[in-house]
Amino acid sequence: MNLFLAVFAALGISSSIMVIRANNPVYSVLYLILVFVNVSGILILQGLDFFAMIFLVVYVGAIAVLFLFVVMMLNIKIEERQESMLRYVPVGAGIGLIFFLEVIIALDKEFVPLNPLAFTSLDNDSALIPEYLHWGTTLGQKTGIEAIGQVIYTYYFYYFFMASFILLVAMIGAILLTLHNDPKVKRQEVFEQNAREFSRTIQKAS
Amino acid sequence: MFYLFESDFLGLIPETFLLLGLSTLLGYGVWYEKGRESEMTSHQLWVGGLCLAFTFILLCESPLMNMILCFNTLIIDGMSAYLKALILLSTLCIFGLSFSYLQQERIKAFEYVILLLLATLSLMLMVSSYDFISLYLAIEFQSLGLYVLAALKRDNEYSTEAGLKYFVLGAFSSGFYLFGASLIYGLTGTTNFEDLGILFTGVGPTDLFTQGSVVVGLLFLSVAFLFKISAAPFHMWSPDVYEGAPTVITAFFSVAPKLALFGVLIRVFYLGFFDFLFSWQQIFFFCSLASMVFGSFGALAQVKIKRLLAFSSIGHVGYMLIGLATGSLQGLQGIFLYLLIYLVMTINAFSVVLSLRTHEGEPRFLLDLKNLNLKSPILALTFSLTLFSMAGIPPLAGFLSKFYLFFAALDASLYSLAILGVLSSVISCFYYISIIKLMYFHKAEEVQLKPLVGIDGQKGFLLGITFFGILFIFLYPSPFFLLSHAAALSIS
Repeated sequence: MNLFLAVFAALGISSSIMVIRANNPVYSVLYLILVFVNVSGILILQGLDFFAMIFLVVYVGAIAVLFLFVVMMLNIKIEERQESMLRYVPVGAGIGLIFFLEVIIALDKEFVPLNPLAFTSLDNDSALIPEYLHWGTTLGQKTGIEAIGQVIYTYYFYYFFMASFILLVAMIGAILLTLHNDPKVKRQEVFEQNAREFSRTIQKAS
Repeated sequence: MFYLFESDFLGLIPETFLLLGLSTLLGYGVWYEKGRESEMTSHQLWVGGLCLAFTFILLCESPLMNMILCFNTLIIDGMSAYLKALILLSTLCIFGLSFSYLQQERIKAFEYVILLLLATLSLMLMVSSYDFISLYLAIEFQSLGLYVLAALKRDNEYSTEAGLKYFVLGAFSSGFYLFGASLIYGLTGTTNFEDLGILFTGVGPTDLFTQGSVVVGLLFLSVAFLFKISAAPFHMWSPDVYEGAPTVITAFFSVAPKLALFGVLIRVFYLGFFDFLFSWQQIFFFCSLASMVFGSFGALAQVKIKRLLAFSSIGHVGYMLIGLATGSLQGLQGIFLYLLIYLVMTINAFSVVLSLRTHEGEPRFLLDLKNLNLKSPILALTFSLTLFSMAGIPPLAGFLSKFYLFFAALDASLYSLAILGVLSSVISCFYYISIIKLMYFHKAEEVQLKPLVGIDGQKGFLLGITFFGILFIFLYPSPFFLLSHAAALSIS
């Protein structure tokens, strides 16, 4: 397990570095897909199978492919970025170091430190050692999807509503920003398309 | 039979009404838009304004004062009621300003109204959030709407740039928020603010390690919020966005999200993390100082009106952060009072700026204000008194709010903040007065003054009522003191 975690994490980090270092933007997007695949591997290792699949479907299936389309349509030239690298190193490395140290401080800490005594004897009467419930023994098993469904449609229905509002805003925004009510814009004529006959469309120019 | 959410919807009646109203408006707009685009925005503005007014009434008449809703994800208390009322009022004012602006700029999209209403709804839900997840969803809801509104004039490069910049930096700060929240969740296992507050009781300064790691999470959270309220080290986006966005939207940006975000800041830091006061106090101390200094010095170099107003709002955010850094109820009351008066002053300033329009278009540079006294003496008088009020000159409203905050800072023995606040307010006086000089004491060399476009009724009404507020709040401030006091008491 640990080996898999190490492999996925190392691949994920190195390919995410390649996302910003690759000269060709198409390669960047491909590396981005690799990052997503590795992250979903880590999620599977955590037992979050549903999230891993959703991650792949949404990020690789929709977003990365969209990126790829955009990048290919934009006709971006391959940049030379030899000179731009050194300019940002001092500031970037400083901020990165601070960020890294802060995360190192925060990692691997628990707010309530696990008390080894509490697990050996759950029925201690000492006033000093607080009692802990060993949650692992009380849990029932459910698959990820089932568990999510059971809380998100009942207790946390508000989150579900909010997600739908966000989608509504996104839809209105996309329509507002892209729909041109201009007569010059060419539109799809559904009726004409349906009424078209194959024999009349393609003709031999003799 | 037992229902889990039996009375929850009673507490959410104002929000539900607003949601239903805007959905109806959306349907109306979609079905009846064709061929009637130009009248459509005006209809929608009137009905949307009515919808806001009814929501306001429902909010004020709500018998439920304190309540925790929807399985600990939302809360209603005095603070949320006060801030929601202010948010509704600010959106109403923006609607009032939009009537003529949309016509003049030939913005025919009725979605403008819908998006503003949705943004208002999200801000109201944001003020009520009681949990990291509901807060995040509300923030995303709000910011998606605002990105679109910033890029509303899609033919204009400034506007698209503003939308894009706002989008990228907003997503960036949301990332910070999520990182901080997940660190705190990883440490404590809860995302609810009150649970966090109970868990942290008395634990603050004892254990260095746990404290250190909670403080890292706090740091990320506060950076995210400071980004969103454009406090000083994170303010770089705001002048560009404010300049590029359509002017009414700029007015909305500079008022409504700040109202909600200060509510959120207070809820997170006073309810959830009050035991870490001495850690986050330093962050807000520094940012407040930096915002005041950058706000006043940055404004000196500006030549465009909207950028100047953006820097002035950065300065105001700095003053409000003083109240947050005090960690006392008095400071909170100061913030609430300041938010109210800031709302009045900003709406007034933006309605003056919108009234400066000539037939050639919208004024963009400060030099367009030259000799305003000759063009329209009443506007010049209004604007100069608003600027005096923003600078904090005694008999006006702005003085009241500033002085209250400085006293709160002195009581919390943050002497350096109070003193530097007064000093930076003196510097800000300098650029406010330089505008007044531009309006009054400039020789009229070229007499070809372009006449202003007439002011419509709604804008005139707003100008009048806010000007009245600026002039006379100082004479009879006790209702506002009482309101802000009641709002602050809900946190105690």
